[in-house]
Amino acid sequence: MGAGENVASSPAFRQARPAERLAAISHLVQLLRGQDRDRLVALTEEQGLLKDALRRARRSQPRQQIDALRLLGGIGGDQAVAALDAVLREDPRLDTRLEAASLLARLDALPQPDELIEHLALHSARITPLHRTLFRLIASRHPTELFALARSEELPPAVRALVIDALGWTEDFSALPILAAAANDPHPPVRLAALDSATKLGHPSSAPWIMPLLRDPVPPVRARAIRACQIMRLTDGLPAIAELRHDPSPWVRLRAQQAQQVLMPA
Amino acid sequence: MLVDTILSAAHGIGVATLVAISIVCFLVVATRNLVSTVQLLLAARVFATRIKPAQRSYDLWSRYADLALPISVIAPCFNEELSIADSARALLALEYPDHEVILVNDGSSDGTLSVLIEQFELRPIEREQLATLQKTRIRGIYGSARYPNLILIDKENGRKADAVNAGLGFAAAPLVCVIDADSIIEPDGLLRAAEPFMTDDGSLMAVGGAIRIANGSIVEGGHVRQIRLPSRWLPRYQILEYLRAFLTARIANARLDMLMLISGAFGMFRRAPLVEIGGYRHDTVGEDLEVVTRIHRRMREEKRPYRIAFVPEVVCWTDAPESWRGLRNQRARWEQGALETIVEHRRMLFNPHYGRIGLIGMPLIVIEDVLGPPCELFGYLLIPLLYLMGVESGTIVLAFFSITVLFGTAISLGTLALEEVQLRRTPSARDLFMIGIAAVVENLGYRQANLAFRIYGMWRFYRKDSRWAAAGRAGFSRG
Repeated sequence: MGAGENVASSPAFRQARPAERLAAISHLVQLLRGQDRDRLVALTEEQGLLKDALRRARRSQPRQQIDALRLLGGIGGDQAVAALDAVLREDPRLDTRLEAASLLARLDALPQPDELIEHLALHSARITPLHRTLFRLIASRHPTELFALARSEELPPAVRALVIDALGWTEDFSALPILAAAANDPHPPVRLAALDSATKLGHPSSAPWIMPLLRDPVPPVRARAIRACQIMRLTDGLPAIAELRHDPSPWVRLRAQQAQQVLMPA
Repeated sequence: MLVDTILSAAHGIGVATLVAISIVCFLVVATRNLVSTVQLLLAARVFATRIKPAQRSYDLWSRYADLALPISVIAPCFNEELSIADSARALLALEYPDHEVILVNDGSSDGTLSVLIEQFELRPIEREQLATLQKTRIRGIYGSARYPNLILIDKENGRKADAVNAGLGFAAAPLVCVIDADSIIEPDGLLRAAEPFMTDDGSLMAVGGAIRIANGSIVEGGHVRQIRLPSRWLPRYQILEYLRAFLTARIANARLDMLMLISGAFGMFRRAPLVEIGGYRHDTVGEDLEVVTRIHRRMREEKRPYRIAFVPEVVCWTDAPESWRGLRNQRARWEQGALETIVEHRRMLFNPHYGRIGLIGMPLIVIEDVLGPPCELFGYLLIPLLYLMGVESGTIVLAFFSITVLFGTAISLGTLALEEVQLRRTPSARDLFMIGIAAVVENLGYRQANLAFRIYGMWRFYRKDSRWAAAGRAGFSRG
């Protein structure tokens, strides 16, 4: 007998009101994994306990709507994912759509990257750390679509940087040529993303294009290239890093100092 | 005959003047209470309708730690040899994927420096200073191989603002958390305070949290292990004051985009604008109020979009003064700091160029900190005096004491109810009852003494007395 049946057959559960049952399940579901969790979620759906949350997720005041979305995101299951997906696609409020996206991310049910860009209005919205998180999650779920997007030349620089950043999280070395090309992008955020992605992949074949970025005209790119050398243990970069101890930017000097402390033999 | 006439006229003028002053006092006190009522109602509405802080950062940052904006926690310390090791360990143990702790020893004359060097195996290191904001000399910078995210800056004494500025100059993270080393931030405090920055478009400048009083609570290893009500009444009154300040005034002001103060005990700032404005000012004793006012001023003068937020779930514990002398010094300093800020930024007052900050936020400080204390105190003295002279009716006297004592009690009880319904941090019903009693009793002496302390602060401001008068804190109860 699984967790779902155990819970459903208990006298306390049968006597409880639907809201109380749902509260108990939303607590229990956090403690379960695998088949036990699936059974409990199925039981919740069978008993129609999500009905009220599903209704509030579509039509209610912002606070009630967000509470309902979080409840659904905490429990999961097909009905919850469908409801969150519908909110992501159709809700007029961007904040609510973003909340739905982050809950779908927890449930590993984010849509394809081009759809996410559209639903979160990323062509016009400012990119935040949360967007980067969502795209990194997409990387493992939709790598093919992400590669296709990364090769597209129609993306605005900020979104392209987002996509390039996520490539590192595909853990697929076939991203390396795309990153090498991105290292020559005229927009600094794209070059920064290429460095972050390459650092995540950690493949030494990136070294030939990381080294020149130590002399990039933009200080944050130089600082990030130093960090990449430090994390990837690219000791060939030490002479250039030593020169950067005299860089006009204090940030670059600081990163060079830190990298030297790590990379130079004691 | 003529002399009698002159004396009679003078008496008439004197009485008329007293009556006029009493009316002004009455109006100012009534306005303060009206503002408090509006703030309480607005805070209740905010709590009822706000979307609670998301938990998403907890889940997502645990998977993508590098996306959590790094934080430099700056903790100035001065003569804290007994507690500094525990405080530093608690700061290092805060739940956050990427934070560095910058302790700034502000020329301590006790063993603070040696305790830190010994306990954390610190040794002198090289560290690039990104901005020079302090006025005093840096004597050394220390790091530890065992605690790579701990930095100790040893400098000459220059007071708290100077120490924070020194730390700010070495902070390499985009967010800085300024905290008193002897305050205790809850383990998830950084996560909660940084969460609004996760989805921010760059306009969020700072986030403030609630400060609570730890007197009586059990503190162990730099953490509050058990929340308890202090046994003495003086800190109990202060619990009420902090609740009123943080659960009504700050929440209401933040909702109206005119939060004027982020407590010096805990605040999270975006580093770049803080450095851009030159950090904290050295020539004021109210540097926390001044720095937020200066951020408002700079942003509005440059017409840049910005926000300053308040998250009541972020809780930082501090110990309140338990002696009248300590309380006097603290309140006088707050008053002096407020006056210094108002004078420094007087250009903003009633100036539409500064929007709601100039038209509402700053005038509210004037009512609260400039007019309020003397008017209420004079009211207590004048109105009964005029009644005894037969000039004013008993109704006026009753009305004045109603709007001060009864109204004040009602506001306090309303705040207490709000806290109980929304945050539930008071440990037991008995404690809640005792704080409720304090809400009544504080009107019979404590409130008036506080007003006198603030008048003393005005005197210090007038004398330009910039000495730092210690609040004489009691120290936490160790478990």
